[in-house]
Amino acid sequence: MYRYTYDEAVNKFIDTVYRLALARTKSPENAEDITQDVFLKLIQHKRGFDSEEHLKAWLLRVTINLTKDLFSSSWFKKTEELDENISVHIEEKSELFYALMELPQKYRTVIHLYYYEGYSVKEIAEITKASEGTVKSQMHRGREMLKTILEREVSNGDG
Amino acid sequence: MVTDDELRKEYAEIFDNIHAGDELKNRILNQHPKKKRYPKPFIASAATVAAGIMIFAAVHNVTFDRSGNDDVISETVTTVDGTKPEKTPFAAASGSEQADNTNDQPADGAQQEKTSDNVANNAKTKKDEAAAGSGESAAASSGSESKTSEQLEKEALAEANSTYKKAESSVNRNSGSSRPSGNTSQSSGSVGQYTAPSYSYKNDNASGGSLSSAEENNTAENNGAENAPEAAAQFSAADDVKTEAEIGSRASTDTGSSSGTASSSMPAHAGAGGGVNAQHSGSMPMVSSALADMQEMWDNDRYFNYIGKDIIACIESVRGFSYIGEDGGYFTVDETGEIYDDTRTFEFSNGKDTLILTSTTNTAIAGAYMQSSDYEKRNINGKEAAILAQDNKYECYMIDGNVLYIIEVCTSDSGVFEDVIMSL
Repeated sequence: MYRYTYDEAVNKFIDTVYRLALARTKSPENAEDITQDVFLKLIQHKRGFDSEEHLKAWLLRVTINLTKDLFSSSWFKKTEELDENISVHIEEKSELFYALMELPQKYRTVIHLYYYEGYSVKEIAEITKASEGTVKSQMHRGREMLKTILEREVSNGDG
Repeated sequence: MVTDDELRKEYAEIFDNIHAGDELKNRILNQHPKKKRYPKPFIASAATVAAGIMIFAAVHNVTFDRSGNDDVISETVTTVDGTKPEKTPFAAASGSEQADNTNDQPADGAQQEKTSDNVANNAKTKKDEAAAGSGESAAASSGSESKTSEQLEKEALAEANSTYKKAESSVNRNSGSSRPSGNTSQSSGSVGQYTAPSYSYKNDNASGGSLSSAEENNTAENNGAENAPEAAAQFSAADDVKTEAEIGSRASTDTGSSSGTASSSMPAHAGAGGGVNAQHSGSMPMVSSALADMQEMWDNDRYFNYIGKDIIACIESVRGFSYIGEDGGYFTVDETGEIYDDTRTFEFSNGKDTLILTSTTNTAIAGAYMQSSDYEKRNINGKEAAILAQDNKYECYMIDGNVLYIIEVCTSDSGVFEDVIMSL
């Protein structure tokens, strides 16, 4: 059984949670709210974790579920998304970032978990509660879209 | 063309620069769980007890003496013309009219009319005075009032007797021996003895509230009845004559384990008992309905897949045990669909022996048993186990991988227990 304190978990995984929330919501404000809620869920969580990895995977899964809840909430549907908020933290080299943000959310999530968190397709399938085939397909389509967007940006820049 | 590695590297460069702000971090570190949507049981209990006391006070026309700090209930006792009678010698001795409802012993044996019936109280005051030989009663009121009071007294006595007999027969019916044989209402100790176990009957001539609450609370009632003589001796007037508020708090603190003393000590037993019962029947559904939102039914097969072992098949393979429990169980699940507490209990019987097996992935429970010197440590097929054998009962905490099995076997044959633990 993995032993940890709440403070340790927060210090260790707050950025992980925040980044995934940001990648999914594209809004720092929403990402902050989601992050806060995720750790609130951790306080309320009664069962233990087998390992640090287990805890991390649990946090990421809760992050995904909470962002789903956010998107399905009537409040969110009535509120205009402010994509430009994201530029607050990003410098000029982030063509890729903007390209990522143009992807549909489901592709952003698997690409983030694969390229940034380093999870395998199987692990991503477990975290997102999807089949491996679905994850592979989303990865493939996401990458294709990303390339298309980046190429379009490059050609626009050249022109 | 961007390769995977380039994408990964660039992605990392971007996101490594993204951090949660300090303000957010502090907010998260300082956040506390949201309050539960349902009231805590003791709050619901306190509210119910308070409501019960208020109803009791309204029904019995009881007023709370807030003028002093003597914690005495003063019942409103009026004469025909609405004036308060003078204090009886007993009341004067104890500082309250109600003192004669407690363990104060009358001067003679003619006190069987003692009840807390409101009507009887009018007469009782006069009767007490007469019995005590004080001679104050007649002088206290006019002749016509005295006559009226006497008539009233007779009616009250008749009613009080019937009430008392009803209560006595009810207590006898409930407890079998509500008071020692020969202890009739005419004995000198009758007031005290009959006060303790059956107070709720005695003080409730109109409503069935106390009667039903006493019946519901059989354990307390029986305890009270069996201990009647002792209880009567123990209860001093000061003990019995408490404020309603004190009763309320006492009743609420006693909800966990009602004793005969607590439940039979005061007339507020009716209200307090009602409160306790209401706590179980009233507030618990609220709790369960709040939890019901997050519950999930798992059949046995799903649970066995989850823990990785078909417990029923294992146990039924030995000593003719067969499963006699439910086909599934409800679990509270979190927002990810994971169950909070995966404990399940399975009951088996082979007609002669019984077996209860509890399984959970919370192996931390076993820690104390595994270290306890009272438990024999064994290794069963590579599984760590702590075993306690007592007479015909065997208890075993066994950890298999990430699952803890708590096995309790009631059998006279130690071989049965051995076969059971080996089967898992």
